[in-house]
Amino acid sequence: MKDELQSLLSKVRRPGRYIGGELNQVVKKDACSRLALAFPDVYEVGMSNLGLQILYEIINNRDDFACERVFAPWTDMEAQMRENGIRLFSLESGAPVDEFDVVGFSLQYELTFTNVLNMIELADLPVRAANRAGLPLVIAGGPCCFNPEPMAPFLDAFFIGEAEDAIIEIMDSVVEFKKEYGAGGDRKILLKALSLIGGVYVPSLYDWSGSYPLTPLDGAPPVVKRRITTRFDRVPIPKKPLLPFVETIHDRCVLEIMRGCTRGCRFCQAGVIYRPARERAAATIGAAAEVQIANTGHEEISLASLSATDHSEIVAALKAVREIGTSPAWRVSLPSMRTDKFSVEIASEIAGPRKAGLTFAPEAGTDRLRRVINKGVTEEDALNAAKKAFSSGWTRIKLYFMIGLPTETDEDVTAIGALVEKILGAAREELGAKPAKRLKIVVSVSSFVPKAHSPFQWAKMISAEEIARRQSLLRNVLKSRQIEIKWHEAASSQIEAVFARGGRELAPMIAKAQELGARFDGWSDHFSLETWRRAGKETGLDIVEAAGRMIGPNDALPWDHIDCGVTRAWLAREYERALSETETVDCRSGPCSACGVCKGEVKLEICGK
Amino acid sequence: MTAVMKLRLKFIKAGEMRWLSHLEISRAWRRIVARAGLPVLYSEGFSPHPKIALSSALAVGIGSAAEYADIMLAEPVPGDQALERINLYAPPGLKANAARAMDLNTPTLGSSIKFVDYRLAALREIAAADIAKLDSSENIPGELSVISVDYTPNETAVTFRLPVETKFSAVILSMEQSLGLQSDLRTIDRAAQWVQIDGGLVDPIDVGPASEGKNG
Repeated sequence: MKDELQSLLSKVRRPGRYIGGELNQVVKKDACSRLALAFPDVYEVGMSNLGLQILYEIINNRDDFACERVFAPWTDMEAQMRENGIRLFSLESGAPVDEFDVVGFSLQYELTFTNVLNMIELADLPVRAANRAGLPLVIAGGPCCFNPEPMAPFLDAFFIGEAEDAIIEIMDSVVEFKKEYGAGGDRKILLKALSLIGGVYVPSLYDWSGSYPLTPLDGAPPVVKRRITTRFDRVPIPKKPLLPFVETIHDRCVLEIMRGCTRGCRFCQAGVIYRPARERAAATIGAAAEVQIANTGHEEISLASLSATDHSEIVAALKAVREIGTSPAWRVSLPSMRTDKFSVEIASEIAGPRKAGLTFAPEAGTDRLRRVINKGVTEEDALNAAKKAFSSGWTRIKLYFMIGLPTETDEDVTAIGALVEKILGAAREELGAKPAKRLKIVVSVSSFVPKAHSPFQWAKMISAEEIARRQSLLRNVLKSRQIEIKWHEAASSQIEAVFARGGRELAPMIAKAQELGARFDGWSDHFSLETWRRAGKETGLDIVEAAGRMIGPNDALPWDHIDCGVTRAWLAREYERALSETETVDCRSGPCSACGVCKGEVKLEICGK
Repeated sequence: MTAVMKLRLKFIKAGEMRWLSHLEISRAWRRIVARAGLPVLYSEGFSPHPKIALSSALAVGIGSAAEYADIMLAEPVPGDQALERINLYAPPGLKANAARAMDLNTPTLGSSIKFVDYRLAALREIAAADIAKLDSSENIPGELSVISVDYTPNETAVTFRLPVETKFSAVILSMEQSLGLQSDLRTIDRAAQWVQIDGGLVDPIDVGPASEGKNG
């Protein structure tokens, strides 16, 4: 590492964020093409991202490619870098990011947009794509690319979908371009070539006249189709996850056991954009877990998926993974679970000496509203799941709820309180008097944000004042000492909503907010509504109005040119069914609802079927 | 389970690893020991922890040539074998240079280390007279004794010894003032740690019964 960096490190908090050198890091001296994976949040958050670990290994497995990492410097580091004229650098080689061939951002959540701009600026590159020349190419992938429009002017290309194969195709194109024209060649040639790769959206090849739809130019495809990885059980799983020194958000191995979800919760974007559900076999999961544990020394593994309890071999998978660990601290955890599928078997598999946290997501307070959102679980399911958890020895569980869902009434809100109280009552009954001292129910309440490509994309978000009113309604009925409530910030959810469904008209506001100092907007201590209000005002946008916008059923959508595989007609039908409180059954067990994603090679991949 | 062996490790904290905190170093050792497959003992209870005790915390930014860890094992492992396995997984900046079996009742690192040597390197020549004054300076809390001074072109390295209870940060602050060091202070490293046996100073790694597994 360069001496000038060393002197910066003595002046910042947690310098371990910037030094790299972790176990399983890959450093390559000779590579014909280099990509910097850029995560627009702090190291501890970015290193917990599964996609980053997957792509890091895929790219580095190619001898001639090098993949390095860069994260958003925390504000103290940013100040030092600016003061000392240090450009954004990668962890592996300490090389300036602008010297790479490709900078690939991971867009996981909207509130990192200002960090993306800030990182491009810190790399000493022009923030607007139109002002950049030659390499590096600045691209992005991840769920936010399913509505890329607000960020379109800042990125050269977006990748839509699952990048396992495409990342290599993109890198190959870059290598060819460099060979033919050199790193300073006319990037239009490269962008044109990239636009022909499936899943790549090059925004500069589409004319935006101030409204949608866009007009494709120069033979660009009118619709960009999402890339979908098939035969998921055969897709390699990272063998050597990076092992950070600094404690990260998810300080454990994370193994993806299933991609996609068949449930069709109508507020959920992930439930649509990762369709169809594809499982890995229990044997594959067990073998991969063994390799990861041997290569990291981790003492915890999380079996990741959108709905782990739906996996047809979940008990076998848990059993296989549980047997691997030899440490007394060994534990296996599952992300939030459905209450209708939580069984005593599952409970006993994840109940070790160190019990992992248990999270259930009833989402809404009444059976009626759960029918509207197509959650497909009842109050009885929720109570039963909680009882099983407490009788299996848990004393602390977490419950996820959402307020502001379409058609929600005050009764639906207060019913959340009643449900939590009932669960608490069940807990006291199961636990008896003694362990009740440790009894805790954490209730996490977020605000509904309509997302592109979900059936609720046409719905509006309730105002900040209304969120506050419903929150206080709920606060008044959740009074037991054993209940801890965690609220999502209403103000930042509004900004999230603006970006989730906005178009290119938002770009000047993002640039202005970054200029005014907006950073780390997902961090409540950094988020400043005032900054965003001002940025909106100076660029002629009313953020309150934009967040609460209701979109007409026939209106053009800014993301109409992004084809996620599920048809707009299906989404519209689901929205209508929501309003009439009609459920749509899970295609795993019931009939196909014709969402449109399964065709050709792409189909449900269920173990044993 | 009860311990059958106390393995004492001597390792470095060098290069970029100097920027890690004590907690981060201790987490790293937990993972290294797990990967090396050493039969480490765990504490009982709700949240079991491996019984690995490091020598006193070193501040972020300070390197070391002499850090120690006591690891309680459930089965005996020869020191040289343990050393080899550990160094397969320890990053270069945390390399172990010795591992030895200790008597189970060997006093803990925390209770037995009495003196610590530090090496302060500055990017200029510091007059010998100024350094000589440090020993008797009233500004410096505790008893500091200068062990050696190395001059290389444009660099001076002063190695000094402090009793373990001395407040290190206060010493460094007053040394910086006495010697007029600012941006020309390059690095501070822990150079050695000492236990006291029969009036003499002994490297904590040399306290044990045999000399197996010590190489460098």
